[in-house]
Formats: sequence, C-alpha cells, structure tokens
Amino acid sequence: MNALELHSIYKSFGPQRALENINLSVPTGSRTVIVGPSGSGKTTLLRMIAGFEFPDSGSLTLNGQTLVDATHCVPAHQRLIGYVPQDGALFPHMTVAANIGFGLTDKGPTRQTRIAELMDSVALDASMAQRWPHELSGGQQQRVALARALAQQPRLMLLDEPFSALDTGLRAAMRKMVARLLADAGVTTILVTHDQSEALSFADQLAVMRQGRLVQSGPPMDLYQYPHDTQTALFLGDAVVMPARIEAGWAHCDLGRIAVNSQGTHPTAQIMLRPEQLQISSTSTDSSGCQGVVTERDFGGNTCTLTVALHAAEFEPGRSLLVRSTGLQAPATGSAVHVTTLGHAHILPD
Amino acid sequence: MGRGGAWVTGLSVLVSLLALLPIAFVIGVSWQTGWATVEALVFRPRVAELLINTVLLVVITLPLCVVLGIALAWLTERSNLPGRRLWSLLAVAPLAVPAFVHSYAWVSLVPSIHGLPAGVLVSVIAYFPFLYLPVAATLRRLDPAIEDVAESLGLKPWAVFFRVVLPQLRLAICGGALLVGLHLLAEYGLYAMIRFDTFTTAIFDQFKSTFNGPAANMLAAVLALCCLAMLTAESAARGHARYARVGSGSARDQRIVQLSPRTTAFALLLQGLTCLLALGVPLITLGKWLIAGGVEVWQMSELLPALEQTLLLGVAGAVLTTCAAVPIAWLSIRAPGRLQRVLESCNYITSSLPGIVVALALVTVTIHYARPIYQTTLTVLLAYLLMFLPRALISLRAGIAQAPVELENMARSLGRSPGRALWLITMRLAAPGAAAGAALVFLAITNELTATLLLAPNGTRTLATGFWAMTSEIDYAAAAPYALIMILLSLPLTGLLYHQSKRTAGR
Repeated sequence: MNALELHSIYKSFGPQRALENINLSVPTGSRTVIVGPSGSGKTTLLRMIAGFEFPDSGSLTLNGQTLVDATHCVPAHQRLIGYVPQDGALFPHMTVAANIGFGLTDKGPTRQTRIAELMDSVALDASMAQRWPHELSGGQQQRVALARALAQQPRLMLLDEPFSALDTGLRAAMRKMVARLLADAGVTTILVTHDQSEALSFADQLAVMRQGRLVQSGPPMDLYQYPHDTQTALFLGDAVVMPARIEAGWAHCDLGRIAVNSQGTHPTAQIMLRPEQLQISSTSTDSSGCQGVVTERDFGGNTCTLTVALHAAEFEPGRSLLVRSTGLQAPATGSAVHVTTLGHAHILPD
Repeated sequence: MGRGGAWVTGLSVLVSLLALLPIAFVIGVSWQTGWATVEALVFRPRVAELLINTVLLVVITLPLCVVLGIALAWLTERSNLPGRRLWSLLAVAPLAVPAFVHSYAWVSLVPSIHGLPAGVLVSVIAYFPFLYLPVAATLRRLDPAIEDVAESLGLKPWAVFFRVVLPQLRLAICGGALLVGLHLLAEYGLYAMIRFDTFTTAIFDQFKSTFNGPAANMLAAVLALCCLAMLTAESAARGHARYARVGSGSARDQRIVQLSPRTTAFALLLQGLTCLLALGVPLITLGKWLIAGGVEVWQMSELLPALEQTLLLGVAGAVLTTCAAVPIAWLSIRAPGRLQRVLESCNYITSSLPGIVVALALVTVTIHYARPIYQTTLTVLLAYLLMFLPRALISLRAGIAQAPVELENMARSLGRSPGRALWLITMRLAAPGAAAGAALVFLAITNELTATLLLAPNGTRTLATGFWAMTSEIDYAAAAPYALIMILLSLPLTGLLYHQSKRTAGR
C-alpha cells in the first residue's frame, strides 16, 4: 500500500517554474530518496509535502487523507509529518531535552521517560539532556533534530540533506544509524540529497529530479543500470557512453562486440557501460574485446583509474576510455592492454 | 506572504512616508518661499560664514577622530598594552556623557574657551568613541591568515598595517566618520555653550527671534543639504570591495604585537591623556560643582519631576519607536526586496537630519495641518520616532535574524499553530534584539536637547532641558545634579553598547 501519493503537482515562483507535473507514490514503510542537482526543485517538493509551501495545482494524499487539493489544504501543524532540515534547525533557546520534548504532549514523569528513550534511540548520552544546541557537534545536533522529529511519532519522515554538513566518515555511520532506526520504527521516509552515492545506498526507491521534473524513479539498482538518458546515467555515477550499431542482441562499437538486452536493429544507437564493467589484462585471452595503450594513470589508493587509448576505433578514431583497476596491479603508463567487457551494455533510449 | 504580508508592507510604507515628512518640509518651504527670497536668504555673508565654520569643524575634527580612534583600537585589540581590557572600556565610556555636558565641563574649567579650537577639542573628545567602537570590533574580526600571507609575501609589519589591515577597516572608518560628521552638523548644546556658531546654533537663534520664519527654514534647508552631501560622500567612499572573511573554517585568534618598553610608555601616555580629557575633565568639574554646591543644589522638587518626565518620555518614545520599526525589520529579514530597501533608506536619511530640522518640520506641519497636536507630548514623541528609528531598526533586525523562518516551520511541523509558533520561537528569539533597540532609543531620548527644547509643551522639563535652563542662567552648580543623573542613566546602556560590539565580533 502507498503511504504518500503525489499527483500532477505544479509550482512556479514568479516566472520561474519550480515543479512541473510531479507524480510519485511512496510505499508504506519504505525509504524513498529524491536526488538531483541543486536547483532541481527537490527541496521545494519536500517543503510542499511538509506543508511549508503550497502547489499551484495538483493533489497530495497521505494514508488516504487528502493533504492538498484544489479546494482545501491541511496546514503544516496538523499533518503529523516529521521534518529534519539540513542544519538540524534546533531551537537555540532550548536545551537538548526541551528541543526533543517540543512536540510531546505528555506531561510530568512520562515526558521525561519518553525524552530519555528518544535520546537513547539516537545514541545520545543521557548526560547531554541539559546541554545547549551550540555546545553540540554537528553529528550530535542532527541526532537531536532526528529525536525531536521522531517524538511526535510521525506518519511520514522528511529528511532534507541531513548528512551533508557532516564529515565523510561520520556521514556513512549516521546514514546507517538513521536507516536502521527508521526501519525499526516502521516510519515511511523521504530523503532529499544531491549526493548520488548517499542516494543509492539509502534508498528502497530512488527518484531523480532535474529542472523541476521527475525524470525517472524506481529501485536504485535499476536506475543505475538502466537510466533513461545520458544525464541520469552520468548523474548516478561514472559512465562510458558511446555510439554503436545494434544487431540481433549485439552492439558493435569501438570496444568490439558487446551483448545488449535487445533483439531489435538500430544503425545509430548510444550504449552505456559502467567503468566497473570494463576489465583490462596485459595479454589477450580471447577474441572479444579490443587493444589499447595506457596513456594516463591516476592512483587513488584502493582503485586506480586508467586512461586507455583504443587502437582500432571505427566510430571515433583516437577514442580513449576510463577504466578502473585495483591499485596494486595497475599497469604502468605506456603499457599495451586488452580491454574486455562484463555483462550487458544498456541502450540509452535517447 | 499572504494577507499578513500585505498588512506588514502597508504598515512599513506608512512609517516610511512619515519619515519623509522633514524632507518634504524642506522642499515644500523652499518652494513656497519663492526663488527670490531663497536667494536673498541663502546667498548672504552670514550663511557663508556659517558654512565655513561648519566645513572647518568637520574637516579638522574628522581626521583627528579617525586617527585617535584607530590608534586606541589597535592598542587595545592588537598590542600587549597593560590593562588593555580596562582601556577599551574607558575608550567607550565618554559616550555616557552627553556632548553638551562635555562642553559645560570645559567652559567651567577654562571660562575663556571659545570658537573653532574649542569646538574641535570638545568634539574630538565627545565623539571619538563612535570611531573607536566599529574599528575595534572590525580589528577583532579580521582574519589573521590574511596578515600572515602579507608577511610571507615580504611585507614589513608597518606595510602590513597600511596595505592590508587599514584597507579592511574602510567600512568601519566610513561608518564611524559619518556618524561623527552627522553629530557635528546636528549638535546644538555643545557649540552654543562655547560660543561657536554652526548652522544648528544659528537656526536655533533665528527660531527664537523670528519663530517659524523663512530665515530659519532656509538655513535648515542648507543644513539638510549638507547632511545629504555627507551621506553621499560616505556611500561613495565605502566602495564595492568585499570585506567579509572569504573561505570556510573558523578563524584563528588575533596575533598580539609585543610593544617595546618605550612604545608601551608612549601608548600608556596616549591612553591616559585621552581618558583624562574625555572622562577626567567632566568628572572632576562635576565633582567640583557638586561639592561647591553642597546639599542646596539637590532641589528635589525640581529634580524628581524632571527625572520622571525624562523616564516617561524615554520609555514611551522607546516603545513607540521599537513598535514602529517592527514591520520594516520584519520585511528586511523575511521578504527582502527593492521596496523594502527603499523604505529602509527613507528612515535612514531622515534620522541623519539634525534634530533641529526635524523639529522645525514638525512645528510647521503641526501649526498648519494638525493644530490639536501642536506643542503636545505626541509631537515630541513623533520627533523621537523620526530621529531614532534606525537605532531600533538595526537591533531589531539582528534579533529577528536570530529566528530564521526555518525554526518557525520546524515548530509548525511539530504540531504548533502558526500563531503559537511565532510566539514561542520568533518572538522569544527576537526579544533581546528588540530590548537592545529600545534601550538605545531610550538612551538617545534621555540626552536629547534640541528637538525637546523646540517642541515640548510649556512646562515640560526633562533632565536635558533642566540642565540647559540652569547653565543658561550660568548657575553651573545647580546644573551639576542634572548632568550627574544623565550620566548615571546612560552608564548601563553604554555598557550594553560595549557588550554588543564585542558580540558582533563573535566573542
């Protein structure tokens, strides 16, 4: 069953079109990530779900209750939707405990117990309760913000780039903790981010936004492997996009003959491969693949990114590719290599 | 913004239109008087003489204030001068002494003092803290890494100061100099007491002899033009360079320069001398008069009502002005735009006009168009509103900025209605800013003399006008208690100003 349904949402700020025909269903208990470059409208969409912005047209329902349609709209404070913004937005004039307790209706000892439980659930030490927001680190502030949003047992949780202010190591740990916590609580979650690796790792359902439009949505693996267009392909990770001739389940391209998931025929198609599908070896072991020479070597610790110039490039003479190799066995600059492909190539529809 | 936003915009427009009243008055009377009369009244030797006096006063006083302000600020912020925290407090303390009390102290110490030299001396002493405060705050906030880089590029310490530090102080110096300049143009009591003629004193005399005549009005128009010229000069001098710290991460602490024993001695002498002239002279003179006057000068039957009137006017004016500033402050944080900037600058321009111009405008307008409020407390409060609105505005704006709309949204998403969210979060967070703004307006009203003298209903006697009445009768001993009470009232608020300048610097 779907918890949240967005139906043909439009929104403009003056002449600027912010959202255009947004349709999205969020299944109950799932984690949906909306990803897109800055200015793509993802934060506007999130604020609209929270009730801080209103669409020009379209409708929005949560658990069957209409939140917004042409005739009426439910104000933010009656929606019971949790919201954690980028910087946490803790109330600076309240202690940690008062911040967390802000949305609680309980009074007296039950309130204290509940606050203690919430602090425990986000792994905050009980001794922090009387601290002030400015005395906390960035990660601690985010935990307080999360506990505060969880306190009112929201029907839906909205996270607006909640990890982007944290440093890299902490970010991954926080992401895991939040994912586990929300799964345990069974709260349907929408996270907005511009970080594709965060999006891919956090999501059950991924939705890609660009220029106010929702260009593609589905399971993260599907989007990564079968993007609808080049831009989405490149946004979700490095990709090799090249022209090819499709014939009976095979693509003929500068890399030789590669299997594709299509039986059709197409004289001028674009195919996409992820760099991890390309493999290099020093000697040719089979007839497939093609020959090249390493022109550049970018050592990055566990992986090494090589630039390989292909010898017989029929579509684009002198083409070179980026190929990943394990750092330890990367061939030196100038070495002759053989490039082969794993799995299928994806034919880009555009 | 919705309907609430329209209301706020409407109110801001109303307040700003009110602020345009003095400018409209200047243009209106010039128009009505007719070109021939204007020419006869403006192009005459007397006006030239006043203009020369005013220009000389500004041209000599400003550089002295700038140099003194920078020197003291550098010593207290960047050197290991012994007792620099105390010196820094003492450099701000002269603000608690009203300018005309400074002048009173000097006249009673050296009765022969008069003219331009006296004007410059007392002005520098009374107004240099206006430069010290912003320059010290900026020095504290500068990114030390920039100086490190300059030094690594081969600059000697003096060169680092002149080529890197000083240019970054530009905004602070411009702002402070403008404030001092506007005070020089607007001040009446200080110059009247040492018999130095400026536009303001001349207008006042003219007003007393011919009341609301074209002669006074035309002088006021010239004075208003001088103020506008100064505003323009300042905004041109400010330039367009970016002075905020570029880059992320937190700045390191400032480097402290070790002074040699000889420099230390010289610096202590400078600090001590400034302190002696700016605080010692007023306090010693006051003490002398209080001792000489004994118990008799404490005429409680006159002092207490004056205190009461001052407090009443101060509190009423502060509340009124702060409330009037709310819509504009709100717009400037929550819905900044071109309209809001125009509205805000209306208020700034008017408050830069001397009290005497504002007062003349209100006299003229109330006599002709609003007779019932002529010479009432309401008119006095209106003058305070026009003159001091920006003081409330700046603090209030900082207060509202403490409460980003995001926090209000947060409270709403946690189940509070919009009204409750506004009250629990925004109002609560903006309250200190509003209180600070109200306190600054209160301080200004307590020491206001010119507009109060012109506008107050008969029988009104504030501490300032009471003090003025006594000194006009050359009863310096009887004036001393008024001065003392004014200083005591101003002290905590001066402390607040000092504290605020530390806080804007992030300490």
